[in-house]
Amino acid sequence: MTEAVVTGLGIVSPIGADTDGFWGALLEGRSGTKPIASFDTSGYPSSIGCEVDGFEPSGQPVGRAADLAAAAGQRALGEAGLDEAARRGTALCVGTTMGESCWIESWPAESLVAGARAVPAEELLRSAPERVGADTAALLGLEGDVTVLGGACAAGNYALGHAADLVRLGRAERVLAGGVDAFSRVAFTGFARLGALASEACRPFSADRDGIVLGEGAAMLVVESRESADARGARPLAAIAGYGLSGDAFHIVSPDPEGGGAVRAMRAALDDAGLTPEAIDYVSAHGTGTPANDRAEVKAAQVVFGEHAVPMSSIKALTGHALGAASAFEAVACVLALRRQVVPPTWNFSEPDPECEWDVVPNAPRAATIETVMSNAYAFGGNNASLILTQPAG
Amino acid sequence: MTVDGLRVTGIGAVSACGVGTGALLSPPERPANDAPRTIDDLDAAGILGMRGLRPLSRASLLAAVAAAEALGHPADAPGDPVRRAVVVGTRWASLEPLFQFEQTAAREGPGLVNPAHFPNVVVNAHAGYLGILFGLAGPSMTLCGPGSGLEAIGAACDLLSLGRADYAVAGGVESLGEVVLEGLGRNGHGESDGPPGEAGAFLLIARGAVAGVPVAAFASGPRSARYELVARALAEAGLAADEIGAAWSAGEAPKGLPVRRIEEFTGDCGGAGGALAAVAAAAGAAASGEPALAAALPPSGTQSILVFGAGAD
Repeated sequence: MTEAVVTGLGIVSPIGADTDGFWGALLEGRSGTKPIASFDTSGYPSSIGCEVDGFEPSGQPVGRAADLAAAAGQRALGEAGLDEAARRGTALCVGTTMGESCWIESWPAESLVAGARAVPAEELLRSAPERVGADTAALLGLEGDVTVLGGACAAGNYALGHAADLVRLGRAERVLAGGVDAFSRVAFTGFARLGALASEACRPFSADRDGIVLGEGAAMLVVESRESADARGARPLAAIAGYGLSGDAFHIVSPDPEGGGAVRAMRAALDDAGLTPEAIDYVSAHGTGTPANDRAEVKAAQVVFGEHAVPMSSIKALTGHALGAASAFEAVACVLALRRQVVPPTWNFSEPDPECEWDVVPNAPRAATIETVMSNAYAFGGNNASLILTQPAG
Repeated sequence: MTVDGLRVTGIGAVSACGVGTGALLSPPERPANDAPRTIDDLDAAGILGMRGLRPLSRASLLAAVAAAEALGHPADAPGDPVRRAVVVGTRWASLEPLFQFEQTAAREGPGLVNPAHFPNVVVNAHAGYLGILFGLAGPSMTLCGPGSGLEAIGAACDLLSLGRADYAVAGGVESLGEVVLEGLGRNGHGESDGPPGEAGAFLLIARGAVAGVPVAAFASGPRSARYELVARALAEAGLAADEIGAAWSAGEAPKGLPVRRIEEFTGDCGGAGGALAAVAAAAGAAASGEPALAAALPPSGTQSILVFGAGAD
């Protein structure tokens, strides 16, 4: 099978709208957390979030998710050096949680209460997740096949893994792949009702962690066959060595406390890549900052890595939890860690939790030799996805 | 791609034709009108013999009823749970829960929405519930789009071919509620040319099975490639068009084949349409022993063709 390589990165995040700004924030600990501006938070137990400031939408009749994904995609295609003809033939794989929930969220309360007949006809079906794919492809002029993966908080890894399979199976030469979600009142309401929102800050793996900070954004990567990159003279930034999926089949929102599904996803990714756990130099954790996730995640890491004390950090302390975009942000961070040989730390770490005993690289970046990284993501529905990226061969 | 060693060992469907694949293939006479083809009086708990289904959305219930039939009644999934994948395709399944969630928040305040209803706004919750109900702990994947039910079956074939799972429950689901009915009704049925319908349709596909309907080929691509896909899939299956005994389509009907349109029976079931066509084609191949073909060629989005080989047993 051909090698799937990454030749371009694009990101629109609450901590930076280009890869240099994003990486700088990760190393310097600049957080995107601030009071929520896009809706009124009175009546909620929290008022903080990680929204993208100053984003200029396209002005086209598309939702915010498609605009964010297209902006990130534009940057990735630019970095990959793809001309207009090459862009046209590019396929798209995009992962999301809810698609364009912005339309339903924009309906006035009285319309919502009165029912669907009070809502403009053309807006009724625009919230469907498929719109994110169709509209992003149209904004970017991509004419290849479009795949929309609903993978909730692991959607970015689903899209990147699926893109790698498409390339490896020879189904597509080149795929723009990543994840997106726009800041959502529905998500904020839901996490509030589940008691999962942080009161002041996201503190992954820290004993005083008390939940997530909701975020938004998009990250897209150009994934292409090694042959395609070589033929264009494009420099691969990283290779996708493999990925693994699993289902918890346990509970619709709570992680398996033993981390069984997470263990299976990590091992499936290692099998797919033909690697042993000892080959992993850095793990990008899902690390949401909820007590249950982080505990289960460390348990899973202990099972998979045993005595191999691989550094494992979560960037969500700064980015917040961007749901469908989260693991795409983290894939960008992983590629940058491979390029720059630095582990981005877990910020906001104040005290160790005996139930999360692991090297989580607290509060300071760490120079390291990084050949191979694993990025983990876990989602509602018990969907787990692990992705392995390596230095490109040659 | 050519699909080696995969066989369909179970099929399941629920639609306005009735509960079960038998009802899909011998549907009652329906009035030729534009009324939405809804499934009335569905007793999912009774059919499934399960309790605790209250948090599930209507789409999840339809998916569960069809998946249970594919797995065999009472649902009895084969193999190791961690080697069983689930792949679901849908267009609208998350829209109704999303609307109802916002409606409750608007009417009663955000502090009074039921957190048990929150997961249903997330489109992969349907696959997640199938995993929980039937012990499917392998890869769990959800695809969204007009042709996503057949696309999901193709994705499941990839998961099996690449060794990511040994069994896969794969198909599509769509439910009709207030938002979708209003949305389709007031936009002249959107892009479709018939009344909307609701359905769940699933295949159980096994790697290395000795009995069942052989999967011979799957081809997919963007809409611009739709006329090449049938030829590509038939070539990969090593079959000529006149060897196809039965062909079922959702969306456009491929030319040069004995095609029946699934919409004439079920209405336009969105993302479930291609999966219904696959169920009907697999049933045809099982009954006749002849090759069969399923097509999902919707007016937009991914187009796909699935070919079943001869020699079903």
